[in-house]
Amino acid sequence: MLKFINKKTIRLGKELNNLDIFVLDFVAVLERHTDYAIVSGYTALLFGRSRATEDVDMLVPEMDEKHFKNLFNDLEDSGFWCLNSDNANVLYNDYLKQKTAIRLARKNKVIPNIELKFAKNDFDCNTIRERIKVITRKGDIFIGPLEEEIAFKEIVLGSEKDMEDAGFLRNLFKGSLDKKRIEGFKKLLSK
Amino acid sequence: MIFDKEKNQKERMWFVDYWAEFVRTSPEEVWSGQQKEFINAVLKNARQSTRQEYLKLKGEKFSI
Repeated sequence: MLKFINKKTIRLGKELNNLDIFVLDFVAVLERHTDYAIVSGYTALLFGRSRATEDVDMLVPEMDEKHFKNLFNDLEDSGFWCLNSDNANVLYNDYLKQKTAIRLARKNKVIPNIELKFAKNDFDCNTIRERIKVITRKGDIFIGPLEEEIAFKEIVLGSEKDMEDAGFLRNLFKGSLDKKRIEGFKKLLSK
Repeated sequence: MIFDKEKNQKERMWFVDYWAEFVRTSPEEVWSGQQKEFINAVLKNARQSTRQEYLKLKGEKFSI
């Protein structure tokens, strides 16, 4: 069974699928350069939700251009490419600094891909700061807090698919979730 | 043909709850083996377009 080791760590002994492996390979490079937190649909999938996704949303703290170029070069050397451009300068100045996400995939593929963006407000920064470590058979994955994830899906996104993801997480983690925290985030996001 | 959206949503949520309960109460090998088969099949059968085509579909830009 998946197990909370403490408030910020979950042990997940599941059989990993190719989407999980893709994420693990990507974050193995990413975390050499920066903290991060995965948000949105993949969180539910990681814990067993019965649907697929072609992209994985990831937040990183804003970094300077030199730092980003080092990260980008490392990703390229590790077999990844950016769908939006091959030019790190363009990606940094015309996309990330403009609060636009970039997509990264294994070289010469488009699916699955990581949708990477800089944290752009207090909510995003809190997501990274309060991230949860998920220990899998082949490495660790950091996700945003579950309460935030549920609140964001129910209030900001609100599609059928998002409501189902939120319902799945609520049911799966019932007994472990801080319901007051969810309601607090929902009020904040409703403003 | 009349499509009952509310009924459809209820049925979908029933399955979401059913599956969540199954994941919560079953050994990890059991549910994750099924998920792995499904997700790997979806990814295997996904059409790998060019990155320009993909971004156009998403309404996002490609830059040289």
